[in-house]
Amino acid sequence: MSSNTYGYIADTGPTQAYGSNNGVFDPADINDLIAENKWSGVGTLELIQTQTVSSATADFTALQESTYDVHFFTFNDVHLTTQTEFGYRLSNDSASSYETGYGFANQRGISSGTFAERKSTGQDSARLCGDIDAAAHSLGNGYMYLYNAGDSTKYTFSTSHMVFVDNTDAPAMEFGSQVYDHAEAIQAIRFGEGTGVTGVTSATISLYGIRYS
Amino acid sequence: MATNLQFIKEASGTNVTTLSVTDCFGKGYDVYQVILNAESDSTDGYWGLQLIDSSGSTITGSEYDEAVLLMRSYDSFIDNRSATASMVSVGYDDDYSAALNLYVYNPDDSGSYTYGTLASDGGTSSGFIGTKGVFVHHTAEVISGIHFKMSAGSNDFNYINVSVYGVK
Repeated sequence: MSSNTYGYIADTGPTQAYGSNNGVFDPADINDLIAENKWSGVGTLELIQTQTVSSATADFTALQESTYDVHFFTFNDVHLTTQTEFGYRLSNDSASSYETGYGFANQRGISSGTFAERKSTGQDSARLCGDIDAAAHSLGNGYMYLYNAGDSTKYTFSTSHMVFVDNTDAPAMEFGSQVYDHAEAIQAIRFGEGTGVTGVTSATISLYGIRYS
Repeated sequence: MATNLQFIKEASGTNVTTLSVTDCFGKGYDVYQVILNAESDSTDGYWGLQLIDSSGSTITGSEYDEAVLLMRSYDSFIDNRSATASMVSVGYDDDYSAALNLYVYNPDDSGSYTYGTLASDGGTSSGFIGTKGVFVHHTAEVISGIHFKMSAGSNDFNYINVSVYGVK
C-alpha cells in the first residue's frame, strides 16, 4: 500500500468503498483499492486465463477461488475425438487429482430430432453436452457459470448452455445444471471428453472471475 | 465494443423469510445481472422472486408470466408455467443450498414489460435439482428492485446473498 494512503497524505483519509471513492489516486492506490474490492469504475468481469488446447484436456489450475465466488467460462469450437459428451471434473487438491461423483440435470434439444432429459445422480464427470463427434464441423460452443468453488462449506454448482452440431449433423442445444455435492474448496477444473474427461481434439476456453460476487 | 459488468449492490440475510434488494435497478442499464447463493431450511422447497415497483412496493398481484423447467437429477422433469403467477418460481431448495444466475431486461423503461431469464441450482435429500426458465412482468412500469421469498411464507432462508450488476 502506498505511503499516502489512497491519495491522502494526512494520517487518516476518507473511508473508501465501491461507488464512493474520494481523493486523488495514483496507480498504486488504484491497485490497492481493486484488491480490496473498493475501486469504482472498473468492470467486474475479469479475464483470468484463456487456453487453446490441442489433443489435450483444458486444465485451469489457478481459479483464484479466494478472490471470486463466481466464475464464468466460455467455450469456443470444442472438437472431440469421437462421438461422446463434453464435461468437467474438479480438483480439491490443487490439481494433483480430479474428483468423480457429480449430479446433473440437463435438457437437450436436437433440431431434427427430439428434446430429452439427460440426468444422473452420480456420474464420474459433470456433463455439459453430448453428442459431439469427430467430424470437422461438429463443434460445441457455449458458456458456464461456476459457483462457490472457494468455499469449503458449500457444494460447488454450475449452470451451462451449449450449442453444437451433433453426430447426425443436426444443430442441437443442451442446457442444464450440475453439482459436486461435497462441501470442499476447489482449486482447479479440468475440461475434457467422455466421463473420463480425457483430451479433446481442440478447444478454446476462457475463464473469468466475477468480482464482488 | 467492449462489454463488462458493473457492480451495483449486494444484500444478504440470515434466517429470513424474504430478502428485498431495493434500488438496485434504475442505474441506466438496459440489462442487469443478478447472482445469488442461498440455502433454505429443511421444511420448504420452492422459492421465488417478485419485483419492486418505483414506489418501493413489492408487486404481489397476478402480473407474472413464467415458464420454468424444473430439472431433477433423480426423476423426470417438471414444467412450471403460468400466465397469472403472483411469484416467479425460480428454484427448489430443501436444506441443500442453491445458486442462481438471473438476467433482468428493461426494468428502467416505463414503457416496456420487464423480462427475465434464469438458471439455478438446488436440491433436496433425494438429489440435485436445476432450473432454467423465463418470465415476463406483464405491466409496463419502472421496476426499482427485486424481492426473494420462500413459497411458504413461514419458512426461512438459512442464508441468502445477492449481488446485482449492470451489463455494460
